Amino acid sequence: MSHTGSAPALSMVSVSKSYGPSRVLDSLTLDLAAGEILALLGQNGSGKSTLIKVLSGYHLPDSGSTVTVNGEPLKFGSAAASHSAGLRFVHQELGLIGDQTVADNMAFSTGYPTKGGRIQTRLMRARAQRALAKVGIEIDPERTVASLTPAQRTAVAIARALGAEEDEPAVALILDEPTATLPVEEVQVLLEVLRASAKSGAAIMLVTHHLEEALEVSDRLAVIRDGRLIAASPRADFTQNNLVEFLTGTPLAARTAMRNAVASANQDPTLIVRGLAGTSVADVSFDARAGEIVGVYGLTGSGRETLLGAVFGARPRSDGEVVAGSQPLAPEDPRAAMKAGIGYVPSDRKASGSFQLLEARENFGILKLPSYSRFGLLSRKREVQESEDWFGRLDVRPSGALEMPLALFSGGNQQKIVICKWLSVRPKILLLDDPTQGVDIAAKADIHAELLAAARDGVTIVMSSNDEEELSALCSRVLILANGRIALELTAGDEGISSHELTEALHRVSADSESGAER
Amino acid sequence: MKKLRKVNPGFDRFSGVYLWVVFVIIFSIWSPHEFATLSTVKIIASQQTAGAVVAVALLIPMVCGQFDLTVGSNANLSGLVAILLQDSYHWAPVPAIIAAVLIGAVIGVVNGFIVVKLHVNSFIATLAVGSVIMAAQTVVTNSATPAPPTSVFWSTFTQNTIGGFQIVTVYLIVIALVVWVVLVKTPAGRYMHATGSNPEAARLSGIQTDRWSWLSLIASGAIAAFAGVLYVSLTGPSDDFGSNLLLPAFAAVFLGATQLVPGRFNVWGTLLAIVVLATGVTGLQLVTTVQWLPDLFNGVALVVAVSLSVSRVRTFGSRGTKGRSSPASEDPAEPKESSGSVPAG
Repeated sequence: MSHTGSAPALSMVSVSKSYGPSRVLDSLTLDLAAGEILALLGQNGSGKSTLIKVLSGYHLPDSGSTVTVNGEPLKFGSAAASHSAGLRFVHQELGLIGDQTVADNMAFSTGYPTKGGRIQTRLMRARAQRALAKVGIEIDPERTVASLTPAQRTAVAIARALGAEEDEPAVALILDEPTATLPVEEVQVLLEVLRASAKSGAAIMLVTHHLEEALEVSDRLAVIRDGRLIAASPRADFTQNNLVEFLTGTPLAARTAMRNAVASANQDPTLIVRGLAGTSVADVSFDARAGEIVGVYGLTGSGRETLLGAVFGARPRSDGEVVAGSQPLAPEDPRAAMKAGIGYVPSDRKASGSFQLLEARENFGILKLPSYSRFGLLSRKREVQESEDWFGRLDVRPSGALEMPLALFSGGNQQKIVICKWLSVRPKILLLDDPTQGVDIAAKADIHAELLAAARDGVTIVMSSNDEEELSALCSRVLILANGRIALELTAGDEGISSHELTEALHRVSADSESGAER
Repeated sequence: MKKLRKVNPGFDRFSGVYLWVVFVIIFSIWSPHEFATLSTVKIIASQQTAGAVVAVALLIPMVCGQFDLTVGSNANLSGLVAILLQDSYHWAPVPAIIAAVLIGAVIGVVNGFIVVKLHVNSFIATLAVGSVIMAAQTVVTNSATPAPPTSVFWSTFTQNTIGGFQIVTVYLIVIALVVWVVLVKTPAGRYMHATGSNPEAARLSGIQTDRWSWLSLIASGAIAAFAGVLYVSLTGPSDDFGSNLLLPAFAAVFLGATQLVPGRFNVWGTLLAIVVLATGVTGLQLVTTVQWLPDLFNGVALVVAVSLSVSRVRTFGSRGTKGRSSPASEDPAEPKESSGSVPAG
């Protein structure tokens, strides 16, 4: 590999990729310099992942596409060629083995240093330590990956990709949404790792959905939409607002979230939770009324992710009462909860929220099969009609693809399908965990609009989220959890709850609970 | 989906049909006087029906995400019990057959209990129960193969012909139709597919996953037992025919999952696979006299079938993620050790 000095670390020149008639990438040209962090932004389906797959050698681009690494042309369609050229990838799935040590995990990709067939443990540990130091992180290489925080795990994957000095040099590091699954409070740790990595000389391309973090960490930003490069400039040229316009192609004013019609507080509550205890929650009590959207906010591990699952019965409940309407619910009985009119959208869509290999229509209809049946046989007609209506209403794309397996839809559209599956049974109470996680801006707006509409129709909505903007846009009340308990409750005034207020409250609450723990 | 189907000339979904045509052409040229005759068709039809019924039985728990490795030993035991009841206890054929089917259902109940209540993986559970069934068979038969019953009904109930075809073919078609209707046209079938696709999501959608898994194993037990009765009536009793039914049934079910409704275990795909495999085996038997060919053929077919369905799931995942970053991506380009054992944050 020749270092020609002037050549960019990674250069893409009119890279295109077509599937039949549809062009997923359209003559994309983009450079990346050594030591630079470039944030690549784009909505679901904009072509980001295809670009990564072209670079990683998984997809062959159309002819006429050129990619050079340090001035040397890259051979397409071979993962080995991409690797030996110096391209490194960190995917959302980090590819680490949880019950193995950090050092072992790193050695799996670089190879074990051996002498006479025996592993030189000390050398392996030292090498792991150096690679970790390069990304500015100190972890004992003998710890198992499972014992690390999510951000540390990502750091290990990055350190592994970049390697120590004696490994094959890494020219460019491409990260596919590394923060998507990270708890809010750990994002900073990871951004610090990225800065250190860039300082070590690697060119870094950060693919992300998060505008704030792109604006914070990158030197330059690039936006792609419909496979085309829409903008690529230094960070100073961008603001949150113009980024949204670049991403969606429509001015921000047109899509500002609607304010929630605040529920009348003098109604009887439809959902009563008293003294609930379960996985990472203890003694949680709250009420929710018809027509209101209640938010659940808190750090990772505060109980935010497990509270609603315990209310619905998806997760165990060791103590406390849940009353829906006037019906007390048995713990861990989703069927009883559903009978009482509760719906639940879990946060992990793939693992527990959907049937990836079943068709969109089947995913949609699974709750209502008895109503689609006549004499015990399913009638396609009603199911098709109803799913068509709902998919149209939430603008599920591609449209009319009722028979397409769910896995073939983008994340945002899958989430829309899951949400309308529940909305269509007209629940009295709808619980949602992180309903827009990993969903692009346009789909997020559609989902928000639908939730607001449902609340206006009198549905009680309780949703957890780690997105302050979202809670601020939708909720009339937010419960802030710390250490499994409700530490604070914010109620919207005339101006609603601002995202700033939420962030501040969160920090105050978690500082309190920490000092409480010290005492 | 319409778009996807348009690009696809059906080679994928109907590859079994093409393969079958290739077999027919090859063997017709190779052995024109023996292969391309109506009698070959009839031989295939009668030899394969019991096996096809076993495959249809196996299909049901597979849809639910459960293996049933007892279908072979169950068929063997139940078939022999049907004969013993007539020989030694002088039962009439019909009650004996009903008793045999009930024994199969009881085996399904036991399998279901171990899988659902004791939370033992179905592969292990039914492997173990299969061994118990073989022990039971030795006890019941006292290690001697019973003689076939002599009643007229016993042989006519499978060997009567309709339009030249033995009546068992009709039984097969009726069973296949019923199973197809249940799996595809009823809520029960949809619940079973959902359970097989994602048990946790099914539970959170209010589906009684345990109940459907259990019922699917009972159904496979009862149908496999009936297949055993058909086999001993057609071919005569033997001690070990069951073990020869198991592997071809798996091959057919997996190969069937690549056919007609790709990516899904389905009845007609399974039957198509049976026909294709049987045509291959019968053709080979006509042109050579080698004894070990069927075993080899079925073994290779099972590997090919499973690898085809695996590669399908892969292309499926990658097609779905083009230009997308959905968490559904199953990206073979990722490093090999991404075994998914990383605990989620």
